Amino acid sequence: MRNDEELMNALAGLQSRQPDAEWAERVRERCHARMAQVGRATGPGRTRIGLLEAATIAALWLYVAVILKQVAHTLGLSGPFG
Amino acid sequence: MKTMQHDLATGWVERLQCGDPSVFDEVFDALNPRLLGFLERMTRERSVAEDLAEETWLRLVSNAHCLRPDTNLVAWLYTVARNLFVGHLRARSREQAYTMEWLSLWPDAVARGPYEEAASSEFERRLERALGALPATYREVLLLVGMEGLRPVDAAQVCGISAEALRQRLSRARQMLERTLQLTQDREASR
Repeated sequence: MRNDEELMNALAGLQSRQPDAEWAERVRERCHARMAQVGRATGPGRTRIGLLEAATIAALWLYVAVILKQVAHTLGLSGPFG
Repeated sequence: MKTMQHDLATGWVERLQCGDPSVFDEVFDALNPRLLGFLERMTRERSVAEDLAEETWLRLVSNAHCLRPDTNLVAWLYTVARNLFVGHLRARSREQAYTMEWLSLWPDAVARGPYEEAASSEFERRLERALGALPATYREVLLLVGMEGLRPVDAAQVCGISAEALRQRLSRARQMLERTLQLTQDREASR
């Protein structure tokens, strides 16, 4: 009968087999791809896209406001913008 | 006992968060064989262990930006791997119960685990067999503390139990392993 320490040493001495190289390469590639995907979604590039989107939306709203004002002017309506 | 690279593992999180693939490669190369070995000894099936390990790594890269810089990456990885293993067991429990019922009719038909096949000595083979015969809750604590070299406090975190509960479980697991080893030795001697 072995004592506890011997048993734990025997466990620590058990070998780990090397992973299959093809499998490991596939996992590595998938993880790199996922990292790039996550990086695009959360990184500084994403902030730049967000600002661009906000600026485009603001410009569109301004354009719509100008059009509405012109329509109102053409119809002879007066309003706060006169 | 093997020592786990805790300090290095803590530094890895911040470096991983920079999104540099070479840092991931470093972590992957250092920890993947052991993570896969742990899962293989838990599942006793290489293909299932590979699937679970792959999912564990994908979860790391998907969630690295959410981790605290002081996260113990090794404990985090084993926790995810273990949770995936538990999920896998749940999904297969009904199928397994059915299979075990049939296998109990032919005890010798229980397949040897992959590590048992590859053992380099008679004692290692018996040890692998005895480990494989333990219930998963006891096997995992022996693997995490005895083989992977996790500190008991980290192993307790991985298993979702208190440090005291882990200590008791580990003690019981050692006794069970010793008894199982003795049984196999006696059985083989009597042949």
